[in-house]
Amino acid sequence: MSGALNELGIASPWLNVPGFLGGLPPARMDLELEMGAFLPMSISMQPRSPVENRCLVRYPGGVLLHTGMPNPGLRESIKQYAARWARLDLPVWLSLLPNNADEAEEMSEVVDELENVTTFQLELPRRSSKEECRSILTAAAGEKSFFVEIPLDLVNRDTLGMVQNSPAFGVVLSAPRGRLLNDGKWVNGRLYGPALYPQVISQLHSLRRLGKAVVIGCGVSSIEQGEQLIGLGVDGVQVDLPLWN
Amino acid sequence: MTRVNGTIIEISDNGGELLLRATTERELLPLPGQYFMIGCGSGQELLPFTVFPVRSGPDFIDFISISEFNWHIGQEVTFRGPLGQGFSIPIDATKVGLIGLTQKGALSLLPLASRLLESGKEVALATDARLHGLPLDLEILPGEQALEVSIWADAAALVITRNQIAQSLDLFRIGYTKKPFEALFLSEFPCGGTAGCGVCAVTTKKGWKNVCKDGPVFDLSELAAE
Repeated sequence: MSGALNELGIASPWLNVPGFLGGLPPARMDLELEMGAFLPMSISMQPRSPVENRCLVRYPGGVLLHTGMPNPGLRESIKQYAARWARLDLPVWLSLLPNNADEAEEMSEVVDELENVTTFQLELPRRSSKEECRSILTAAAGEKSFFVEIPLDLVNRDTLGMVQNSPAFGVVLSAPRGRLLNDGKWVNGRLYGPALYPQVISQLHSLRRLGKAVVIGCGVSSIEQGEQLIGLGVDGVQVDLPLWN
Repeated sequence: MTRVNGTIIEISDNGGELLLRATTERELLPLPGQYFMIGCGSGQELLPFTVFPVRSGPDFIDFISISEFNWHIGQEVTFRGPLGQGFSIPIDATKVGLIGLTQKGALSLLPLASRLLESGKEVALATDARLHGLPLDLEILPGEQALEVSIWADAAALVITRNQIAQSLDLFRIGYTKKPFEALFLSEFPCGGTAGCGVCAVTTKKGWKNVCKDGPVFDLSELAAE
């Protein structure tokens, strides 16, 4: 059992990657895992529609998923789900997509008021400057502890330094981006699958040196791999593709 | 969620489209238009495949797969489903027009055609596919007569992809505004309705919807061009 997640009232290190189970947990899961918290789809301030060239591309070692992270926006999500999240047996862990510091502050304040929402993770806008990211992290600090996502392809000295000096409680190593040909057109998207696992392992040392809680949010394709990571001292493991089998 | 194990026992070429037959440990009872997610027992694929039934019996199912895969005889598979909302052709329709221009499209309409014929309706299928083993009383017309078929019918069903919405709304606008006209989306549904991941989403007059969960059959009049 994870000490860091326990502090947040999360009793098991097993979690789902946001977006892989929708807005509410399924009535029954085929994957035999005792989940520590439920993560709904990622939520932006404003509603987001699926992107025009949305697709799934399979490749040896994984899949590329390009959707645009569709969601009804924070207000509508709360209207649709907050009462049901409050009644769940599991704590809820939100995933937020602020575009700037103002949105991060507003979203954090809203989350503070949500019953049974224990924590949240922030995905920083990919094209933002280091300064903007820093201000988002500062603005997100509220009553509830939060995590910041570091995509696997952006683990570097700059990112780690910024996160280390932020008020984030922990980090989530999240899916990297990639680019593949699909029906004759190049498409960007998030990468999932077992090809990422060795890269995840190789980044553990850098992440643990931050002195924050470490959650692995990509590349875990089996319970065995998740158990190996827990054995290596990570605080939480988010599962993705196995949930769709 | 119902899961049924099976084994691939036959792979045939049906007009250029792979038609697969699997024995199943118990009967699968899909409604016309519903789909299955099929996982391979060997674990060689990360995600299950979306498949549409063509016909089924007490211990077998014939199906087409939306994605290409190296299927082989003896392969152990697991069917999850049936999933999604199937067709709901009105009971009082006496003449039903089906439009499935491609091989996949026509094959995916065969369960509906059989069901309609069994209930005594006249059924015509407009298609460019090369089909065999069809019910004798199913009238086959060339794909170029799709519009005529839709005009002749009291109710119609069309197989469509996301890229064909605008074209179909334009071509069949007389039909779908005056009679029941349903559209079946043939595409891959990675999450099989588990997550609403958005890959299969289509735009409707009431906002976007996930085909895997809200479909794969929609009223054509509900859809909006992107």
